Amino acid sequence: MKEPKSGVLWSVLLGGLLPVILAFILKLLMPDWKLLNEPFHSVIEALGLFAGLFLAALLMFNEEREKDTSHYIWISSALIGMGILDGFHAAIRPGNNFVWLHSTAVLIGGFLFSMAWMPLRDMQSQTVRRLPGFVAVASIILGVFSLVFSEALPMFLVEGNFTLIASAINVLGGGLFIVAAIFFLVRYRTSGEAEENLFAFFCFLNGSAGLLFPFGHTWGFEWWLWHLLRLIAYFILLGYIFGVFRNLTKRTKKTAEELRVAALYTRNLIEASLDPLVTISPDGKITDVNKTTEQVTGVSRERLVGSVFSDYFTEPDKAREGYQQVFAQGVVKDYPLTIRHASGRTTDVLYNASVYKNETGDVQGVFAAARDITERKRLDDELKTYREQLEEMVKKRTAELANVLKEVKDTVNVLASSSSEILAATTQVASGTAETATAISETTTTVEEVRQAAQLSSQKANNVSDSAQRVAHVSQTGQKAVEETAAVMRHIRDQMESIAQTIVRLSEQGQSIGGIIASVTDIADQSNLLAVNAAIEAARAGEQGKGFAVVAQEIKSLAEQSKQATTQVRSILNDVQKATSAAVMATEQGNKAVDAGVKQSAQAGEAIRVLAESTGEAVQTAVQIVASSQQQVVGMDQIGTAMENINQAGAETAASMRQAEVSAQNLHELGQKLKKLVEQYKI
Amino acid sequence: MKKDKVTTPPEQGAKINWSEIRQRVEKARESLERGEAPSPKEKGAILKARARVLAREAEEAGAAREVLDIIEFSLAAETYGIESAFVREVYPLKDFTSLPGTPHFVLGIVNVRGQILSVIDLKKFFNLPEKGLGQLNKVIIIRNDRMEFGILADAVLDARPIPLETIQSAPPTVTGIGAEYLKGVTGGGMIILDAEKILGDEKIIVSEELT
Repeated sequence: MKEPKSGVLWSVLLGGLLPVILAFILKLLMPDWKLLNEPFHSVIEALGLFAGLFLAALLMFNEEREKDTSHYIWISSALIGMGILDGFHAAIRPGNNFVWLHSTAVLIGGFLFSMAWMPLRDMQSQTVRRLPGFVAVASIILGVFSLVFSEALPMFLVEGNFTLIASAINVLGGGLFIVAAIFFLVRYRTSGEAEENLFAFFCFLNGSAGLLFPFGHTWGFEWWLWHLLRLIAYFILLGYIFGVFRNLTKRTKKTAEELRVAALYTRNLIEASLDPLVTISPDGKITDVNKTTEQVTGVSRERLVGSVFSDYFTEPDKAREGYQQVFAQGVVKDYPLTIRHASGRTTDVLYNASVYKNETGDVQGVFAAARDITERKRLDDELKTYREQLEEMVKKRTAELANVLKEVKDTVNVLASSSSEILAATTQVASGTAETATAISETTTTVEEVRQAAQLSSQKANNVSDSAQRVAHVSQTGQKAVEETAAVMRHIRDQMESIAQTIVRLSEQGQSIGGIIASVTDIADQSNLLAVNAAIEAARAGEQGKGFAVVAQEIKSLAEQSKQATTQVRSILNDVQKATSAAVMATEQGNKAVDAGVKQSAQAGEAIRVLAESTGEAVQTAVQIVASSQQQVVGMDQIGTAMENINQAGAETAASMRQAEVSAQNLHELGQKLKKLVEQYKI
Repeated sequence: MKKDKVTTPPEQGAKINWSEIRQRVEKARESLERGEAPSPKEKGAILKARARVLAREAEEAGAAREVLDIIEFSLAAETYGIESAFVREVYPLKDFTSLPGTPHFVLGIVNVRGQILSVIDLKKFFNLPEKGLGQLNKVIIIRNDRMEFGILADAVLDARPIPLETIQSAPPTVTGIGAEYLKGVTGGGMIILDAEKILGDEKIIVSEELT
């Protein structure tokens, strides 16, 4: 098949443009060429008539094709109308009605072809079916009318030239043909069927002929040209449609062969059946049999067909009743009959029969298939014996089975309880796993906290270490200070001792002062007495002693003053002695205090030394704590990683446990089902 | 705490003004050295004061019309006076020897520059109650033309003249001493003994009779 686009081009060129170009060329070359040959023209027109009618007939018979061919009615009508009018046109001599008939043929053909645009929805309607006939009758009437009443027709040909009206009708017809050609081109483009393109080509040819009409004149070259072209178009179309029909015929033959093979297959199937098969007509005659039937009856096929069906049974009435029952009910099953062989031997059979129908659904006859049950009857007896044995065996087996079932029941019970326990355990484990996951996540959090705490303690321990080192430094300074203090204290004690000795010496000197004072007192006493005696003597001397008395008084006064002075000195000395004693005591106390101070400073030194040692130990401990804290942090990190792994493993375990739980649930349900099943079996 | 205890004493020590103490000690030492030989200024002051005292006494003595020279002495918390005309001398009591067979008021005998004198305890002689212990280490030797002996005294206080008008006759209840031995009592409470009467007393002589 050609490409639709190039096909379109081809039909337009050949059908439309080529004739026009050819006509113009020839007109230029041979403007006055004429061939006045009426018989030749009549032959061409007659051939066109036959080709058109034949084509119309083919198209009308072809209307049941699978694709949409509703427009074939229009085509057929057009071909018929155009053919008939062209036939009349061919039959008469050239003249006014000669041109008239040709023009009406072109107009009617163009009109009906262009009507293909109007789809006919109801193909079965009587009006549509009758359209070609109506067109044919109308065309014949018009043709006869044209022959009889040629005078009444309008003028189409005047002095060998076409009138305006003739040209107009032809151009109109040609235009309608072009319209129809476009319709076929459109269809061709969508469907790609070659015949559509041929139709388009045909229409283009006729169209171009109609359009070229005004430019030609009777018997001219172009006049012959489009006659010839139209004829060629008719035959090309005819040839194609003929080819299509031939293909159809071939296909029909092939189908018939397939049908024959299928029928043979069916026949063979029937013949192959081991059961006697037979078909019965409504009047009880045998219409067909298979080989098995021949063997069972001992009668040949030729004799069996056409004979009465019931004659071949020991009980003919029952056989008749049987097939009548089939006709009545449509089907009968396991109908028992006994076939009698020609030799007298009988065969017990069971009949299955049903009616069969033709295409329209009418009952044609009965198809009956018999099954030989002679063997079966014998087998039944054997079967009976077997059954008895079997029943005995079954009893025995049942007893065994009961035992087995009991065991099975026990096992199933155990299985059910076990599956329950497994389910419970699995559920517990699943929940345990969930708890473990929670615990793991909590532990992870705690580990993180502990890690932070360890870091903190590491920092603290560092601080402690620093502090302890500072304390160690301070305690060293303190120890040194205490030692210096002790030295100062010892110095103070020495000083105190020297002070005490000095004071003691002072006290002793005071004693010697006391002795001196005693002697001075004694002297003063004696001086006093001497003064008194001197006064007495002076008094005795009288007036001469007056001056002496004054001296005596003076001495006495001096003695008195001396005595008073000594008393004062003694009193002062007493005070000095008291002060000295107090100083001695104070010095003693000072000495004791210094001793205590020395002792205290020694103790303080010892305490600071112990403190320094402790601080040193604290530093050591702090350093160890720092190291261990760092190890702890590292360990905590490792624990964190481990916990992460455990967490993942836990999650996987949880998933597994969920699966296990589901499995256990299924197992449990299975166990319960099994239990119920086993309980149902009670023997 | 300990540190505070250690550091506090030096601070307290710092409060002691050692330089002042040294100055004071130095001053005392200087004054002591100077005390052996008073400065001219001090000497002048002493002399002036003494002159004033002497001038006043002279005035007083001039004013008195009639006076009695007495020796003033203390005995058993009382102050006594005795007319110095009868007093030979006062003497410290030492190396006395008690004499057996003598009246109880006779203490014993003493050696005064080779002369043996008897010593009488006036308290016992006057039968005065014993009031505490006295020193009794002085002897006042009295005499007249007939008799000469020592009387015990705790202390010899003074030898001075007193105006006669100040001596009043004392009521016998005041002293407890027989009025025949008394001359009177001064306004200052001093008991003036009558030496003549005591010297002339028979009781003392009786003891001679025993001899």
